[in-house]
Amino acid sequence: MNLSYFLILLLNGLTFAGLLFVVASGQTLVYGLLRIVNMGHGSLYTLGACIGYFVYKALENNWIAGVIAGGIAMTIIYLFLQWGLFQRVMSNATQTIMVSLGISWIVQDIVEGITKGESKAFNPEGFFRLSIPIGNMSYPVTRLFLLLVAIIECIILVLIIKKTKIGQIIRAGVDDRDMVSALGINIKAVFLGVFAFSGLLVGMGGVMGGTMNGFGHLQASTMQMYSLMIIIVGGRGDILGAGIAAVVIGLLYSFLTAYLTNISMVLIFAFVMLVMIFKPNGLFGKEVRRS
Amino acid sequence: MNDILVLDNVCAYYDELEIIQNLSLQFDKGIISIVGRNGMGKTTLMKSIMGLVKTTGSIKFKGTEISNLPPYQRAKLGIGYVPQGKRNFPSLTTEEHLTFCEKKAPPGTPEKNIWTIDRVYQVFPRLYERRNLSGTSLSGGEQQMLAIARALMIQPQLIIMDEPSEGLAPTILDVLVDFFEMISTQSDTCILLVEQNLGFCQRITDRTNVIETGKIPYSGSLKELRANTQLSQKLLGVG
Repeated sequence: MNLSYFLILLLNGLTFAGLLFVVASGQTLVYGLLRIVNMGHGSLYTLGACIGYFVYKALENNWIAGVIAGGIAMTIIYLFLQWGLFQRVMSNATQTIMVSLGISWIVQDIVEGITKGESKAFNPEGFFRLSIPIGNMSYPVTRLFLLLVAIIECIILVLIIKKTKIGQIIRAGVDDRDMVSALGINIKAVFLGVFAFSGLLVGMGGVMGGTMNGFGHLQASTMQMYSLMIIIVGGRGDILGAGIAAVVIGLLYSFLTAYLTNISMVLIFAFVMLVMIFKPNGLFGKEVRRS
Repeated sequence: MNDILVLDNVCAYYDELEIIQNLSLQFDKGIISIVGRNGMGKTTLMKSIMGLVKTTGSIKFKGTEISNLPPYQRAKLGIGYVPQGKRNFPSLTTEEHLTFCEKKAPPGTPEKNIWTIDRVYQVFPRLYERRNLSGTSLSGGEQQMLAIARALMIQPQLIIMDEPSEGLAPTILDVLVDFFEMISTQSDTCILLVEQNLGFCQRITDRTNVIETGKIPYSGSLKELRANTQLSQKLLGVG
């Protein structure tokens, strides 16, 4: 096998894993802590890409400004979504899913309107335009940047969760949120913060992923599906688990689409289903109290 | 001086089901117990005080109406909760249980009512030895100590405890009895204790209330109640 081709596949898998981690890590916290399965996450990812795209265009193809703008815009939108919608229905799982499905459809239509149904792409200027040569092929810097962001985010998140007081509150909240609030902690405020944080990540991920794969309303369901896979395989609320799940699924995706193109999705789903059957709480999951 | 806790006409619901009906209870200070058979609403009463179930009626803590407050504000006012089954967190170490919810005592609090992590470790040295272990990898007795220690860290003026003796060995019960003794002599913290184990209860306090299908038909001396075979048979199914 051609070594540089293998390297490219490996990097593709890892950078895709990076994207999956950035997009799903916030959502796994949301699911673990708030028990909200946000079915709008994929659509909001594409909306983040759109907003980032406007800023990127307005600032003469300033890519990094687009990434930051996507993140900030989605943080604000997620704050309003949690405060205005989810907080009011989250005691009822079915309602929560219906509300988030509704958001998913509405946002998907908005994105389709903005992009006129086409797939858009970023063509960054300056440093982020560069590619690094690998054998007789080359690899874009933006993808490697995404991988770097994902690794840094993973390290920071793991440290926050492990070492800080807010991390302790989040861990305890994933275990038993009623008990946490009975100990004097305003869990609603924590919910709001975690939800907004998942917005920040999905907005930044939208621009970075949009650079990798292009973006349009069609990306919504794909990203939604992969996010859910990461939560299931990694175990809800488990950041390190999400990281490992992202790497596994990213590599599976990259190598299976290269070598077993026709059945790659079947095999990925088969893997996720096996995890659900034999490790229903995720690969590294433990029992959690339902309350 | 206000009573520590006054419940007036409290009803509590799970979904649409009414578990507690027009319950009234007055608790001035010290330690009192609530006894009753299984399924009589003891745990629901605890959850009502903490705000973890829907209620109607009035619940006053030191004269302040708290029935409309969310659980975290009730805890902040000074109600510590030791739930049935301990409900420690598998993802936190023993020490993290004590630090993550730690509250500073307000200025002017008498020394004897201030709970620091060192003081809690003095009361329960076993927790110090186990400080780096997960909260749910401890033995049953240690987990119960941890649930109590955790409640102390929020600087409570009232602790409500739901069946702390459940499933514990007699030697651990002795440790708990010592703890209640210490609390009542070395602090002003009040305790509302829900129990099924009457013998254990008797060692801690004689003041009791019987709860039966969500109401309080008896309020008074536990000793007298236990001596009255007919009454205790009727209310508690024992005697």
